[in-house]
Amino acid sequence: MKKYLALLLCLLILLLTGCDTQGRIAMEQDLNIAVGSYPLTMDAQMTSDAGSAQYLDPMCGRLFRLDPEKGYVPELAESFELSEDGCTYTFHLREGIRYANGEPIDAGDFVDAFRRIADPLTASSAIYIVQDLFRLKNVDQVNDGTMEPDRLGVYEQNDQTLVIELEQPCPYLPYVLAMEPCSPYNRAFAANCGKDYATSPETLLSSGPFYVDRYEPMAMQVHYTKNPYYIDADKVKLQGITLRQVSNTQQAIMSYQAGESDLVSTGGEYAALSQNDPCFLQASGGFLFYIGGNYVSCEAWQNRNIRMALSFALDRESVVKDYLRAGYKPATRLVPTGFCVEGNGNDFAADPAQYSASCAYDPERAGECWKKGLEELGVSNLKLEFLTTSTNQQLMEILKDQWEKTLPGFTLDVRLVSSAQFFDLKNKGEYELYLLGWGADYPDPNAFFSIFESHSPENDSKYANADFDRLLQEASLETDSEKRFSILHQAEDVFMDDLGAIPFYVKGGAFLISESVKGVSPHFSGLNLQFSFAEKEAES
Amino acid sequence: MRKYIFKKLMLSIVTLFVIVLVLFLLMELMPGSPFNNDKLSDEQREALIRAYGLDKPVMVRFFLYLRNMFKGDFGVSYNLSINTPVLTMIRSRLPISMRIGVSALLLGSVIGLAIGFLAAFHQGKAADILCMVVSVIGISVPSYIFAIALSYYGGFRFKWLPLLYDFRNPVVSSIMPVTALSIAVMAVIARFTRDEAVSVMKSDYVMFARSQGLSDSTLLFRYVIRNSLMPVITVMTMLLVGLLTGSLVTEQIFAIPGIGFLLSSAITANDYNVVITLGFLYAGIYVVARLILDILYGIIDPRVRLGEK
Repeated sequence: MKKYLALLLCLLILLLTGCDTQGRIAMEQDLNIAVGSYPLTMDAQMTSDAGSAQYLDPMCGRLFRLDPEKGYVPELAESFELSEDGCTYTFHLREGIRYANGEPIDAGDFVDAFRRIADPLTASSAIYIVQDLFRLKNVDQVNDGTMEPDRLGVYEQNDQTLVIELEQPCPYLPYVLAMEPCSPYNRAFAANCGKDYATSPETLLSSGPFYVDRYEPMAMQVHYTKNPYYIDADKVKLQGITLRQVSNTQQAIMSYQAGESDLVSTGGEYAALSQNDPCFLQASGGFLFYIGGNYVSCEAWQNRNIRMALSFALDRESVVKDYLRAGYKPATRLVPTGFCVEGNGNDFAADPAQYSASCAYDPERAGECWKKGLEELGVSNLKLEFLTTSTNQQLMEILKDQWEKTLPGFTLDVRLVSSAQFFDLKNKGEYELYLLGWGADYPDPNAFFSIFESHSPENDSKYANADFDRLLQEASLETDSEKRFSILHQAEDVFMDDLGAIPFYVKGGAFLISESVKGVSPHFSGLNLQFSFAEKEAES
Repeated sequence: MRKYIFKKLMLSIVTLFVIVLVLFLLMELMPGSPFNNDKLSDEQREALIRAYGLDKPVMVRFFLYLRNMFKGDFGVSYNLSINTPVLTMIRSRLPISMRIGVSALLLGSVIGLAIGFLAAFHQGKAADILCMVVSVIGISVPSYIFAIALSYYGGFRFKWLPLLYDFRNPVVSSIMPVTALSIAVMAVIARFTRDEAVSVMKSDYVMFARSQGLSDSTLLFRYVIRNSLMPVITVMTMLLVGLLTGSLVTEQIFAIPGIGFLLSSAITANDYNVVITLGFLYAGIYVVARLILDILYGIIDPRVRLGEK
């Protein structure tokens, strides 16, 4: 029997140690980051979500990189020229730019990246970047297969010069080009990897400050090592980064407090617990949550007085203070404060109370508007269905309580569904009211305005305001920055006066960053941090 | 005997076929599509659905899937890990879940057996009561409670062990999850072993051996353990199946890249191929384990197969 016991114990030890082939790498030298999500893909041209973007950021070199002070700075590009009509950009690449395997990066690699995104065979969800965020010339025809990919409005003049042609001007293009899908694509390397491209460190090719040396699909832990071929390698201070998915926020905070993680993303009630920590950082956000309604089938929502009443009856401050907590702010306009800086250095949305005529908490005015609205509709009471995901149950209880208490004769029917079902019903238009979050892809007011343009594919509620559309069209054609921002202000005035949707709250980021880490800055969305050029002091 | 094994084998194959069909139909009934990115327009979403062949009728897709499955192609992930073959995703995660699951089973079994025999030999005494109280607690408290308690005390408060699973340090960072998962195993095995050992000790042949003057240790090692182990092994097999398929909550607490998390994410994200393959894998593990047990029963006890005639 003792023999069997000994055998069993040996087996146990063998199992525990069996997979220990990686060896122990010095965790102390790496920047250890715990985040809430894992990468959906490491194939840059296939990505369209913020979660994957933060994993791709350290390994993707782009024409421009976001900069906390200047907005954006050239990374692989040296300079660019813009044609008079604002539709043709000519980019000059820096000399000596290389991939992490030492191969040179040329303009053709950027052309291949855009062609790949637009190619219908790729079925990339990043297509919205070249189709909606900016309109690459001929993108529709290439994407529906009626035109060859080589007719796309992007070509190389020579190895160092890239030309991008647009169907209409896009003043914020450099910001969009700082997105990960716009990084160079090495066609020969990918062809060599075949179907396995971007599924392991061997089949990933970095063009950014770090390369990946540990990754498997749906990885909960990705490890990066400094890329010696990176053009600005001298500015990269870290030797390695570990990004780890910890979906349980409490565990993430504990790992930070235990010294296992240098940087963690927190949020909500957990962030409230740690906001007294001197290392707590709250980043203003670019993720707007708004209450929308169905302009096609919901008669009550079509009534401006009813929309106004719902907005005035909404106590955003208390929702944020008592329920959403740290990392969130009340939204009282379409563009969040601290999100976008105009050419003259001013915050586009400096005054959050600018639209108090439609977004203040005012039960009295809510009652007046409500009464008028009901009269216009010819009813004495109203019942509306609110579609949202089951994760919002508590929030809906608060909302229902606020609205039903303030607005006599109002019944809010909350319909809680799974997120997949929510998108399905929303896309089919089977709702009266809904709560939707929209994350900006670039720090410009247009990121929020464009979703309410009548012809926009993202305009689910089918909001249509000819003045608003006209102003946005004017702004898109205006090449003078000052004039353009002035038109955009007018557009926001029109929208907020009409209250096309009810801004509710803004989600930003809440982080804990170890004192030993310097040089970390929040992404404009507030959801992620940029850490590729950070420094970590050795522990004494 | 061959006929018996053949019959059981056929039954298993039919079961697996039915499971895949039911899974396929259930996924079809699930609301929503795998492409729920709100940045995409209706046209862009429809293009994706066409590109992945999801616009074809369900039965056409089912037989296509079956045909590919026989070739070892279980499809690609639509949204959890875009375009990655499902088998590649499972291949990287299954070994981690298995290693932790098997380690927990072994650890729990060794301690559970020791506690069970200790209790049986001191039946009715303080040691018996203490052992059984421990095992009742182990059975009734879910493993994630132990996981949270362990991570708080072991990882956070006293900093003995890493709080999170780390590929740079897989052995040490597995100790806490293995311990948390092994407690339920220990409790089940301890209870089962005690009951079996008590009934064996009351049997005529043990009483006779004792009357012949055999020592306690000879009795324990030669008769009691050997005869009470067989039913315990049956329980262990079924426990192993449960542990192999991963523990979702424990995986989340320790950030273990295991298979439990994969399944729950795939269901919420409507990633059809991943759900069907994992459902098939889980069912396969259960069916194979049952098949082996059925065959073993048939060999050990001829009444089982004769009774079915």
